[in-house]
Amino acid sequence: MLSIQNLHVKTEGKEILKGLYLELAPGKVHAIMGPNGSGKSTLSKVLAGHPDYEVTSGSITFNGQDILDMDADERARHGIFMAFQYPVEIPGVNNASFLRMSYNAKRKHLGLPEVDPFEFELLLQEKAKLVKLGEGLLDRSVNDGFSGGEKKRNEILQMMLLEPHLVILDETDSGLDIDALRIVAESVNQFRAPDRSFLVITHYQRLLDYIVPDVVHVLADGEIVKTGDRFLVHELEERGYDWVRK
Amino acid sequence: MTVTALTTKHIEVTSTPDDPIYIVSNDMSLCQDIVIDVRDTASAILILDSCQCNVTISIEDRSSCELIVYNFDNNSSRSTDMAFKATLGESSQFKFLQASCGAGISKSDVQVVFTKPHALSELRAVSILDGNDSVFVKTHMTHLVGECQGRQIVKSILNGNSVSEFNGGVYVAKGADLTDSSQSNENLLLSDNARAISQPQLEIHADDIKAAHGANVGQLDERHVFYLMSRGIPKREAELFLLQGFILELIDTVSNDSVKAYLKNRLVVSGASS
Repeated sequence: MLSIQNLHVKTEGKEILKGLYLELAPGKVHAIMGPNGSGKSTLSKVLAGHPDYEVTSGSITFNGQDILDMDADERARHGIFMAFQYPVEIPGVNNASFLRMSYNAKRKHLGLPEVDPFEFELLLQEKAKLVKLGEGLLDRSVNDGFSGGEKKRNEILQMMLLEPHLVILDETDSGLDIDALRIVAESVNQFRAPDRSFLVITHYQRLLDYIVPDVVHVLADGEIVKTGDRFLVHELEERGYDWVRK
Repeated sequence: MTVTALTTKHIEVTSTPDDPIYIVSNDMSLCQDIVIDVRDTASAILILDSCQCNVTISIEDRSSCELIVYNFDNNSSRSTDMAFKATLGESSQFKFLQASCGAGISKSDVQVVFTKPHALSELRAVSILDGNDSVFVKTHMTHLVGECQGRQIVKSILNGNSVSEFNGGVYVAKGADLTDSSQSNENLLLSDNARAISQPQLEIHADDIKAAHGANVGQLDERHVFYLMSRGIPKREAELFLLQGFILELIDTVSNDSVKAYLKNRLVVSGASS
C-alpha cells in the first residue's frame, strides 16, 4: 500500500528525515513512536503533501503510484488522509459546507455524481453520531471555538466521510482527555478494514492501548532505528527512548 | 426628480416590527436626510439602500437598532457618500453593517456617541473590491460615560487596483472607566496593485479601560489553504471558499435570516490570487 524508500526531507533549510524506509501493507496498523524532534510530524506532513517540506531524495509510492509530484488535494482524493495534530480554526467557513465540498471532491474523483445538500445532511448526521459530535458543531465555522476533543472528533468525522485507504493519525492523542481518547480510538477501530492502513504517530503509549498496532517503529533523528511488535510499546514506556538510540 | 427624496425622512419606531423596515431612496443622486428614533424598548432592523445620505439615529434607553446598508452596484463609476451619527441611551444597542461589492467610490462616516452606561455598539463593514473600486470607512466612537462596549470590525478583499482605507477613531472621556473597546481591520490583497490603508486613532483620558486594536494586511492564511487541500479540495476552490468565509463571518451576525441569505448571495468573491 505505502512504500517509503530512503526518504530525505528538508524544511526551513534543515534536514529532518535522513533516509527513512517504511513498508505498510493493506489492513495493517503501524505505530511510529519517537522522542520530540525525531521527525514524526515531518513524516506525516510529507505524506500529506505539505508545501513547506521538501523531499531532497528518496521515494514515496502509494498503491504503486509515485505521489511526490501530487499536490495535497490530489493525494487526498487518491485516498491519503492525515488527521491533524492541531486542526486549524477557520472562522467564517461553515463546517457542514466544508465537509460537503470535500466529500463531493472525492465523489468527483471517483466519477460519481455530487450529492445535494439535503442528501449530504442525512449522511453527515449519521456519521456525526458515530463520533458523538453534536449537530450544533456542524453548523458552526470549521473548528471555531471547538474544544480539543471536538476538534479531534471532527477530524475523525472527516476520515469516516472520505473513506481513505491510508489514515495518518498525527499525535491525535495530544490534548485529549481519556473519554475523548476512547471515542476517537473506538471510531478508528471500527473503521479498520482489509483495504485500509493506518499510521499512528504518537509520543506516548496511551493511544496504543486503545488502537493496538501490528507493527511499532521507533523514529530517532530522522531514521527508523527499531521495529518490533506491539510489545515494543511497553518496553519503550518502561525504558524510555534512550536505549534504542544506541 | 422626486420631492420625497429632498425632504427629511423621519422614522419613529416605538414597537418592535415583525419585519425589517426598508428605506429606499427614489433617486440615487439626491442627498437625503434621514432621522431614525427608536423608543419604548423597541428593537428595529432597518435596511438602507441609498448612496447619498445623512442619517441621524437616536436610540433610547433599553432600545436597539440594527442598521444594514448595502451597495452591490457593479457600475464602478458610481459614488456613494454616507454619514451616520448614532446616540445611544442606557443599556441600548446599535448594530451597524455595511456590505459592499463592486462599490465604485464609496465613503462612509459612522459616528457613535455613548451618553449613558451599559450600551453596546457593533460596527461592521465588509467590502469586496476590484478594478478601480475605492472604499473609505471612517468611524468614531465617543465614550462620554463608562461601562459601554464598542466593537469595530472592518474587512476588505482587494483585487485589481482597488483601495481600501480605514480610519477608526475611539475617544474615551475622563472618568469613562470600564469602557471596553475593540477595533480590528483585516485586508486580504489579491493583486500587487491593490492597496489597504489602516489608521487607528485612539484618544484615551480614562484610566481603567480596555482598548484593543489591530490591523492586518496580507494574503490568505497558508495553513487554512493546506487544511482544505488536505481534504481533497483543489487549491483554487479552497482559496475562493476561504475568501468567501472571511467575508461571511461578519454577515453571520445579521439577526434576520432572510436578510442574511440575501447578503450572502450578493457578496460573491470572483477572483483568487494568481
